[in-house]
Amino acid sequence: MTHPLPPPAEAPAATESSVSRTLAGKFMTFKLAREEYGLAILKVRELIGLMEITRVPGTQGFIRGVINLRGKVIPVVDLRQKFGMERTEPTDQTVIIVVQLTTAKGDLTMGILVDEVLEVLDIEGKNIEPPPSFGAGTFDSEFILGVGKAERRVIFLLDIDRVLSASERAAAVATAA
Amino acid sequence: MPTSEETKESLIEQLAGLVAVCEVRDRGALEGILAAFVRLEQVCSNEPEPLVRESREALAAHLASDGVNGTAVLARVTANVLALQQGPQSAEAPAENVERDGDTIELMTDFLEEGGDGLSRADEILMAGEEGGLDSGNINELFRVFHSIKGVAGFIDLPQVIAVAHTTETLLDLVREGTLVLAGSALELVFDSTTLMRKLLHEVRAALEGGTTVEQVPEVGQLVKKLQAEIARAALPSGSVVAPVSEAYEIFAAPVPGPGVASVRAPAPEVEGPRQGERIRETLKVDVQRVDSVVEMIGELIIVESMVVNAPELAAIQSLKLRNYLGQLTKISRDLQDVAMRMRMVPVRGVFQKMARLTRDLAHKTGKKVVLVPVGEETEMDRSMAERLEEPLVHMVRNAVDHGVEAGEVRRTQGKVEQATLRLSAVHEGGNIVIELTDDGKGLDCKALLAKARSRGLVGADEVLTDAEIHALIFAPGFSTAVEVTELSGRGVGMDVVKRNVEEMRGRIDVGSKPGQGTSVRLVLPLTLAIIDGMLIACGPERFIVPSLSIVESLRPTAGMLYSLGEREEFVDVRGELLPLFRLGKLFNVPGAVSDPTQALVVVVESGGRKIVLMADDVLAQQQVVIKPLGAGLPDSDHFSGAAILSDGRAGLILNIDRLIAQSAKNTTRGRRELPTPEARP
Repeated sequence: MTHPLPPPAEAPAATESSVSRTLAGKFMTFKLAREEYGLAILKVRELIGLMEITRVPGTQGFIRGVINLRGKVIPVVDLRQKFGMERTEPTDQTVIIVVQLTTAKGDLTMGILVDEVLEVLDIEGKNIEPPPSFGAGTFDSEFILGVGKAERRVIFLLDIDRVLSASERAAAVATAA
Repeated sequence: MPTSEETKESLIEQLAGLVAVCEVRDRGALEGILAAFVRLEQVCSNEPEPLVRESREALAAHLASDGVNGTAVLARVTANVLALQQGPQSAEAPAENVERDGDTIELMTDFLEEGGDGLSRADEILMAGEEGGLDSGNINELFRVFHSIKGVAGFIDLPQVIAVAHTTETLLDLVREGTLVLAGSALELVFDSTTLMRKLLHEVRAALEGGTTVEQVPEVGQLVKKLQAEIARAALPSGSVVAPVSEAYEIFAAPVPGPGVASVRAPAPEVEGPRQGERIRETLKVDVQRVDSVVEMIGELIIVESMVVNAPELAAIQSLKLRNYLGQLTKISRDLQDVAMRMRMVPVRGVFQKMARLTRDLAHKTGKKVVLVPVGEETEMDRSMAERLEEPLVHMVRNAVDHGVEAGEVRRTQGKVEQATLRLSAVHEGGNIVIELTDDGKGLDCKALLAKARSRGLVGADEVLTDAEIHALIFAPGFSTAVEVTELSGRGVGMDVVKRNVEEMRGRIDVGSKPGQGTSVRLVLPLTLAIIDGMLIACGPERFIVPSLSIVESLRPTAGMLYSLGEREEFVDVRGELLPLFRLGKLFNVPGAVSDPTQALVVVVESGGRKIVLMADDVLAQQQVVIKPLGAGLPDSDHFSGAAILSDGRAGLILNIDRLIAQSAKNTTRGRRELPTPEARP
């Protein structure tokens, strides 16, 4: 604030370091098509194998339906379809990650369908970069918290609260229409 | 002057405490109060309080005259202290945060519960009193209600509650003594007092939940003054009556009627104790959450149990022993479920009593003579359901009193008894509870209803409706045929609220009416919110649950029963009734659903006097399902009211019949009048 003219390059550098610092931690990484994604480990409740999903007619395609999680009914989102990719075809690697979300309406439990769960990875702040701009593609960069790098791999770190609350919003709009 | 102000405050507080626990015959306590007043008068000598002087003089005179008119004097003093207390406080912020420790909170919670129960009982007695049936036992019971409220309120420092309870108690004491007859204005005041007391308890609850101080309720002062005036009026003319001075404050003190008091009701000797024929039940207080978690776990147990019992792997085992064991397991789990459900069940009496009281108050306001006759008060339903039942019932009772029954003169000219009767009944029917409110009033005016609906565009000008459909019009939002809006109803917000509430409870509502004979509103509700009886239907590879409550019948249509109108609309002729056909397979885009109606099974469902036909492939089974909210995070679905775990462990969807039918009403043009031409047959 006291600098009359800060060097333009300095501002992004400052945000970068703060973003990386808050993001650093353990991530569960998984695969969708060929890409690798990461999910903050604290959001993950459990992993369950693929089970029969009951379709809910009238919902958008990326909502695969609902499952019975030990007596609780939770929705399952196909993350591939959510991100504009092809529908997930079940293989023996397909897994439902049960995540706990914090939304304005309170805590939500949801399942996300992914192709394969890889590992739990510790990513340091210095290896995290702010989200790149994707231009006008189908992929919305608002879902990406940052891009992590580990052993020459690139991992998109997901803001899962946002992914799923946005899907809820979209679905709500769709039903209202 | 800060110091004197401080002592004045503290003295008033002290006085409030003293008068709250003081009994009329306790001379020592009265002297203590007098001494406090004397000190108070000294403290505020530079700005004298007329109330203080008046109280001091009255007390001194009373003590000097050896106990005459003690009740009236004490009542006046109490009111004065209250006025003094409220004077400086009224300027304060209405509610501030206060810390309460666990013990206080527990004490207050118990107090609220017991106080509420006591007031219900008091209302019951008072209403009996209106019929003229009060004996000394009843009066004593009434007295004890206020006495125990006062006692506990004293512990937890609720001056407003104490003031009302104390003054009412004083009034009732006069009744016990025989100085006053509990009728007319006195009875009315005690009624007011229970009403106000409820309001105060409500405030206390709000304060407890919000962690604030209790809000000042302005009516307290007014009511105390009125009660006090009543007390004074009763006590003064019979100045010669000497209150019996007993050593202890006897609850069963024999009333001593004074000379010159003509209207004393002879106290009937009554043995105290539970009313005859009533069994004393031992109860145990349990945290609701614990009960809920037991019920929830048993729900899960039932699901797993049916998964195990129906497992194909087990079915392959040819063992009679195993079958027996599984049978036992099923039986025990069902029994367990029953018991668990009954743990949350309460009799509807509490709600019904509130309605009786409401009817009384409404009747007074409208000037009509109406009495509510409860039937089947012992019928039990889930606690949370009973709580939710209250709101729709309030609207129903209001409607019945305000619009349903006629004024007394009109009734006489029609040869009816002047006093109208509302009959509120509860009965178990199958797995449901049926609550019915019947009045013997004028019945619904179909012509007026239809005219109103037409003028509001709810019904087309040339549409012909059945009586049931016309009756169902009263549930449309903002619909009222009342000519004028009264304080009670007529704004048209009543019955749609009822409908919405009942739908939320997954229940059904029917209206029946006969002109000149009355109207009956019938609510059919599931016993609990958690479990419904459903039919499992198949549609292609998918399974849906239709609540049994909405099902009229299911049948396989023949080609001759099918009609179609244009491209989209299809109808089934069910014994002369032409009902719109909904293909679930088409509606939900189910691949592989049966498309030929004659090969399918159709289910006739009903809601709000309207029927539609759902077409599915097959009806698989009837089963009780535990309702789960359709996974949070999914948008509210128009077609489903929830999900349930099926016996194979999968999640199944419960069809929302009300919405489907409402949708059909919007989408389809009516085929009822003009039968489609025979050429339209498929």
